[in-house]
Amino acid sequence: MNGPLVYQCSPAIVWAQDADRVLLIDRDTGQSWALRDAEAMLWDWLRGGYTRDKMVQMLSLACSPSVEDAERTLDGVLENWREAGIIHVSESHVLSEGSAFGKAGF
Amino acid sequence: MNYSHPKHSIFAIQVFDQILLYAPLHDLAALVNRAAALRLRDSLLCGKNGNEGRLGEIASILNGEGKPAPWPKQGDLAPEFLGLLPTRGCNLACRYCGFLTADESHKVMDLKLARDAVNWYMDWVSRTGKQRAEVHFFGGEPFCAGEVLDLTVHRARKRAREAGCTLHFEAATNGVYSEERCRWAADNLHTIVLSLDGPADIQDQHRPYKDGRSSFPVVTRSAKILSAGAADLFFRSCVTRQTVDRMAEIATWFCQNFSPQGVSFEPVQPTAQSEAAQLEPPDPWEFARNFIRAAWILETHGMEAIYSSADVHTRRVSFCPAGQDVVIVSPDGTVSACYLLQRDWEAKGLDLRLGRMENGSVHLDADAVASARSLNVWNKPSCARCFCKWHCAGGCHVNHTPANLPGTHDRLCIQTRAITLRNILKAMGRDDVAHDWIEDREAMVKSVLQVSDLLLEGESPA
Repeated sequence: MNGPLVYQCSPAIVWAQDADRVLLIDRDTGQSWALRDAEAMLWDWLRGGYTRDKMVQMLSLACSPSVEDAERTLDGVLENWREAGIIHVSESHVLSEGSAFGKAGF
Repeated sequence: MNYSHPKHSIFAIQVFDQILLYAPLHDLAALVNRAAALRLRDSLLCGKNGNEGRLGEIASILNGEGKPAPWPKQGDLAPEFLGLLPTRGCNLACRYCGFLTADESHKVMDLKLARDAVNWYMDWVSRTGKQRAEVHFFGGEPFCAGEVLDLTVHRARKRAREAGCTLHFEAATNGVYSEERCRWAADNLHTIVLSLDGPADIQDQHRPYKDGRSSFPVVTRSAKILSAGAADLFFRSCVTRQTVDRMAEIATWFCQNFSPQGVSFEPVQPTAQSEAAQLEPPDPWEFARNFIRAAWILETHGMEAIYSSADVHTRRVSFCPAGQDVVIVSPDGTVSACYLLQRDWEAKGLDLRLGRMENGSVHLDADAVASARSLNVWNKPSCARCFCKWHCAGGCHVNHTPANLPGTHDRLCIQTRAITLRNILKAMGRDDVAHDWIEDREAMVKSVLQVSDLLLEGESPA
């Protein structure tokens, strides 16, 4: 039986909250990102260990799109982060007790 | 007597053999001798300044217009901030807390309700062109409903960006959460009021977990994280008869271990729970004296000592949110002017409900708003002659009922008057007088128990 997907922050990524944006830096490559709006929200909620369904609900409420739009936004952002090497995604066979989003490298 | 004229906000308080002239609407405070005070009173009565030198300058200022007396809000509702009660629930069982037995303690605010409240408030901010929006979180313990904060913060930020205004978040919290959550608070909130009563024996006697375990390790861990964070951190320490003699020690311990911007000392508010736990309010004289001693320690370390009703930097008609048009939304959608429990208002014959949140909007009762605004110091006759009236404004409408007889000072009045007097002396650069004053019980009693502080009233000043 498959477990939930676990999103893990890449070890090289350091991040900081700066007012209403989140700044990310890849220590290995020097590449940086400034997350705003939906991206900043999702980063914060991943950090808080929320489930996918809860993040979809909160994104829908915070940004006023439909649930379907919120799902698309969530999937798009996570895929972009995975492609950029900001996060790793794995399938867990054990339910994580705490946050599924490690703060590695911070 | 018409107390609205600034001349009726000129006070004379005896401090040893001197008179402290205090005119908050003229921004004037001066220590003068009795003869000078009488001449100034005569000058005010006849409206002429026959004095020279420094006394002439003071008479000129006091005969001037001064600032208008503070006045209750009028017109459309203009909330100073939006208050949210994410839940009345809590993960501690503080032995003095009256919220523990609240019927609604299990309720958590629905996320849609939180979103709607933010939308309503930010619509108002946008419509009125306000440059700053504020959202405050109260409890119970707001972080017991962390989802509400996580949604609210982001929704409000989005709306603030759209409105082009700044946004300020404040929370009152017990500090009982994970390190990760604490860092989130430090990163995302602007002002945090952390309840921490003192060293381990005090904290654990007052503020244990529900199963009796010590909360001290986790709360002090949070206090250290928050001390290092960007948010403005304030401690709130509840003082009882048993701990009043330890206020200086508590202040020293705070200074040695943490870096708050300020420490608010508040006497325990009697509840059925506090009485059952035999945690009684401190003697007001001892509270005031020890507050002032603790203040000196905190101020030496660059920290502010706060007693909420003795802030001499404010001029206000109401001590609390009730007079500021604040809108506080409860988990069940009730909109009220006060974050205390409804049963506690009702016990004092007050109804502080302003309306309800329904279908995404706040439905306000205009009569209820007017009623909340009427809770102000203008309607507290026993405060009319008190030099603290524009700062304390009669105190909490629910927990402090000033006596009907002017000049009758209860426990809260005594400590407020003593601490306010010291704060005025400090603002004048005359804390040296306060040093001597708190060591002389007779002098304190003479100052604090004056029946009327009005310079123009009575046969002679003080």
